[in-house]
Amino acid sequence: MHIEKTAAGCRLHIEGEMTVSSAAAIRDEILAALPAGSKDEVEVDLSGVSEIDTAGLQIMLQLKRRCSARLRLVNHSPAVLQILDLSRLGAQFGDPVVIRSGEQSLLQS
Amino acid sequence: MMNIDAARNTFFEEAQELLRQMEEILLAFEAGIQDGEAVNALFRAAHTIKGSAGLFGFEEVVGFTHVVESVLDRLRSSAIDIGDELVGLLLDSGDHIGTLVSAAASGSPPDEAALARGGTLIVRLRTFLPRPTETPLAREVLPEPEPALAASGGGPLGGVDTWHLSLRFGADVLRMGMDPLAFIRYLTTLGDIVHLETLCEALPPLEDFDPEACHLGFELDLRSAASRQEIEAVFEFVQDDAQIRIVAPYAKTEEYIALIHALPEDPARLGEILVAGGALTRRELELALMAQAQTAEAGGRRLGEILSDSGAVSAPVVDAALDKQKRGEERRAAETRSVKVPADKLDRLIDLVGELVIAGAGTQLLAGRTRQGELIESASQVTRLVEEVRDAALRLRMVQIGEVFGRFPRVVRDVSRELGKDIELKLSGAETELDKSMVERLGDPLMHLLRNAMDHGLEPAAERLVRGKPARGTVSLAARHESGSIVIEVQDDGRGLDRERILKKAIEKGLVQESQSLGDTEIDRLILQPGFSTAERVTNLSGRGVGMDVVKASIEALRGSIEINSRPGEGTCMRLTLPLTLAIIDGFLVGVGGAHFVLPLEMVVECIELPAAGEADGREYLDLRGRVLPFLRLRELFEVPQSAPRRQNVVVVQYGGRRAGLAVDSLMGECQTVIKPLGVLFEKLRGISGSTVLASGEVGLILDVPQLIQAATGREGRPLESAARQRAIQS
Amino acid sequence: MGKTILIVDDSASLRQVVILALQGAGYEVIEACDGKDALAKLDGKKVHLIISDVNMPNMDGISLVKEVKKHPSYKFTPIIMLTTEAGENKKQEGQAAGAKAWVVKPFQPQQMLAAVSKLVM
Repeated sequence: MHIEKTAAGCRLHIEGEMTVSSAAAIRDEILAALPAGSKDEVEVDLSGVSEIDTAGLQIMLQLKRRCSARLRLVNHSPAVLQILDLSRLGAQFGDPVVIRSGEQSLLQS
Repeated sequence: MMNIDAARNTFFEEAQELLRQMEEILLAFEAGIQDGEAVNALFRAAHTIKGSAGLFGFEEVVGFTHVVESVLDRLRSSAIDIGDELVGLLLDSGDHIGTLVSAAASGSPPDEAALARGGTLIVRLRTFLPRPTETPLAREVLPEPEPALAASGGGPLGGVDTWHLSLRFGADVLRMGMDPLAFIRYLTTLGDIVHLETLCEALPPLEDFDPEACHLGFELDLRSAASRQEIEAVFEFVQDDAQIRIVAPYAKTEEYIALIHALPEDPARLGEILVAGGALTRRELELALMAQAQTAEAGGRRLGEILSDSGAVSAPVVDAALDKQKRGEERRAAETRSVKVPADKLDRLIDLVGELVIAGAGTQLLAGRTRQGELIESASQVTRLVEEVRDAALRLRMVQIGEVFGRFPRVVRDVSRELGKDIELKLSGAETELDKSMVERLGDPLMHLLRNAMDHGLEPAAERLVRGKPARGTVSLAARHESGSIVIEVQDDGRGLDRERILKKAIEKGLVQESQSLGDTEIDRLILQPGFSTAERVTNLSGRGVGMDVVKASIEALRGSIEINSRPGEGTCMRLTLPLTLAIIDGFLVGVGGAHFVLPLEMVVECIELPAAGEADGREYLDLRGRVLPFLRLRELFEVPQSAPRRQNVVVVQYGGRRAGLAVDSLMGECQTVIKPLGVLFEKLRGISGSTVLASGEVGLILDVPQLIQAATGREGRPLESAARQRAIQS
Repeated sequence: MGKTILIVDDSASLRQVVILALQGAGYEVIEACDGKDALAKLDGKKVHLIISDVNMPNMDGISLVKEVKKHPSYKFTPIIMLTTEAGENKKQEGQAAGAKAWVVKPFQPQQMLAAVSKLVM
C-alpha cells in the first residue's frame, strides 16, 4: 500500500492481496494513515487489488465506517467488483462504478 | 501433453509396482522379519491402489481392494496378529488384485473363474474383520456422486423453491483457510441467490478489530431445486465452525421465528430481512412474534393443543377458536401500534404531496432545459423520491374494507325477515385494505348486489329443500388483493341466473334481436344493460327502479369491472375488480384556448384531426372511417372565451361500450395526475370530476368522460338524469 | 490470474487425474509425492490451496498439515485431506491440525472440483 497526499486529504493505493494473509498489515497501515477524528477526504484506489476475500471486505467496511461520506473508492479491480457483487454491498459503499456493475440504486444505500 | 490415457497407464504401472512391494513385504513376514513400518507400507499400498482405481472407475478393483485394506488396517492397529494363514491369504489377495488390474487394463471384465476366486477370498478375508464391516463396504464399493453435482448438472428438475439460509461463521474460519464468500459463491451452482444481506453489525471498531477473524453474517434466499441435504453439504467443511440454518420453502412461520430467536442479532432486524426477502409477510412476522411471546408466557404449550390432546374438544373446533383468537390479537396489536390521525389532516398531506409531485415534475422540466447533467440527475432523483413519498402517503389512507362490510349483517338479517327466507351471511377478507375514498363509494353497489343475491338469487326454503339444498341459503362477501387490484366477490348458493328468461326479457325490451345467438356469458351480462329487470314480482328491494346497470356504472366510475359467474341450480358469483386507489390516474392532457383538461388515459381510444362535421337531431356527428361518431365541442360546453384555431383535434373516448368524440384545440400528451377533489362550489359542475395542478403550475380540470359520452350520445333520452343518479350512488 | 493448487499424494496416477481435472478448470497445479517433497516444492511460492493424502511415506499428511500451519506464509492456506471411509480418526486428527476440508477416497474428479471451488474464490 502506498499513500499520497492530495489537496483535500489523501489517496491510498492498495496493492496485491487484500486477504486474511495481509489483513493485519493493511489494518495497521490504515490506522497510521487515517488517525481517528481526521476530517480528510480519503480516496482509495483499488486498481491494484489482485485478490480479495471476506477479510478484505471487512477492511473495506471498516474504511467506510471510519470515513463514511469522506471515502471514495475508485478504480475497482475485477476481484473487488466480484466480491461487492457477491455480498450485495455495492450500494453500501455508494461509489459510482458499483452502480454500473451491480445495477444498484444510490437510494438504497 | 498429459491426458487421461496416460494417467491410466501410470496407474497400471503403479499398481503392478505396489503389488510387487506388497509381495516382497509379505514374503519377508513369512521369513519371520516384521516391523511396524512394513505393516504401514502394506496398508498404504492397498490404500493407494484402491484410491487410484476409484478415480478411473475400476469398481472391481476398488471393491476387492477395499476388503484387503480393511484387514490391513486392523493389522496395523494391532487388532489382529499376522500369522502364516493371513500371510498366505494376503499373498493370494495381492495376486487377485493383479488379475483385476490386468482385466481393467485390457478393457474386459474379469472372467468367471477369477470372480469365483475373488468371492472365496472375500469370504476368507472377512473372517479377519468384525461383523459390521459389511455395511460400509456396500456403501463404498459404488461411491455415490456428490448430490450437489447431480443437482447442478441436471438443472431444475422438480419444483424450484426458495430456501432461506442463515449463516453465521465462527471467528476462526478465515484463519482455517475458509472464506464464507467462497461458500456463498458455490451456492450459485445450486441455484440463484435471489436476496442476500451481509450483516456487518458485529464488526468492531477498527482499533479493536481482529482483521483475521470473521465478523460477518449472511442472510440469503436461494431459489433452487436442490434438497436440504444438498444445500447442507455445501457447508460440510464449516459444520463445526459455523451456525448454518436452512429454512425450507413454505416453512411454517414458527421455523422463522425460532430462527430469529436463535441468532444473536436484534430480532427486529432479522425479521425485517426475512420480510425484505419475501420469506415472511409483515403480518406473519408480527403475528408470529406475538404468538411466540404468548406461548412463552403460557409455559410453552398452547391451550389449544392441550384441549385437543385431551380429547375434550375436536381439533377443527379448536382451530376455529384459535383462528378467532388470533384475529382478536391481531386487532389488539394493531391498535397498540397505530396512531390515530384525523382524515382531513391525512388528506391535506396527500394534497401537498400531490402538489410536490407536480412541482417536482416542473423542476425536472426546467432542469432538462438547462442541459446541465448534474442538475438533471439531481432533479430526477428528487422526483423519484417524491414519488416514493407520495406512494407512502397514499398507503396511509388505506383502510380495511371491513368498514363497509360491518353494516351488512344487520341488512341481511332485516332482509331475510322481510323476504321470509332463512339467510346466512359469510364475510371474509374484511381486513383487505384499499383507499378510503374507494371504501366510501363501494357501500351502495355492494349493498345492491347483496340485495339482488338475496332477492333473486336465493330460492324460497321450500324450493331449496326440493332441490336437495339446505333450507338455509348462504350469501358471501369476500375481499382480497390480487395482483395490484382489489377483488370483491358477492356470491349466493341460489338458483343461478335463468338464462332463458333473461333472453326472453331482453328480446321483449328490444335489447337484443331474436335472431342473435348469444353465449352464456353474453346472456348473463344482459342483466347489466340499462333498464333491465327480471323480477316478475316487484319487491321493495330490487324493484326500486335501480337496476344492475347503475351498479355497473358506479363500479366503472371507480375504474373497476364486473364479471358474472353463474351455474344453474348452484348459484351466482358477481366478481368486482377494482384499483387500489383513485387518487392518481394516468391522464391525457388537452388544451382548449387557455384552459387545460385531463382525460383518463384508459378511456382514450385515438386522436384525429377534426374534419368537416355533419349535423343531425341538433347534435353534431362526424364520420370516423364510415362509422357515425357523435361529438362535443369542449369550447362550447365549458364556454371558453378564446376563439377556435383553424386546426382542431378530436379525442375519441370510449366508456361502457360507447364512443364519442371531444373536440379540442391541442393535444399535449400523457401525464400522471394526482386528482384533487372539487370544492363544494363546483361539485355540481357537469362533465368535470376533479381538478389537478399541472407541471406548469396551471390548474387542469379532469373530465368526467362517462357523463360527457352520455351527453354526446343522448341514448335512452335520459342522459343527464342517469348521470345524476349515478353520481348520487357514488357519493 | 489463475489460482495455484498443490497436490500431494504418493500415487502418480491419482496426481495425474487430479491435475488434469484442476487444469481443466483453470487452476495452476504443483505436485508433490509426499510431505517432505511438498514442503520443498512450496518454497515461498504463492499457493491458494493444498490437497494432501494422509498416508504417505517419508512425511505423512498430518505432519505436513502441522508444518504448513506453522509456516507464516501458509498458515491460512486451506487444506483438503484425502481421507477414507475407514480413516475417520485420521480425518479428525487432520481437522484438529487445521485441515478442515476433506474428500473421501475413492472420489471422482468432479467431487474434487466441487470441494476446491468451495475453498478457492
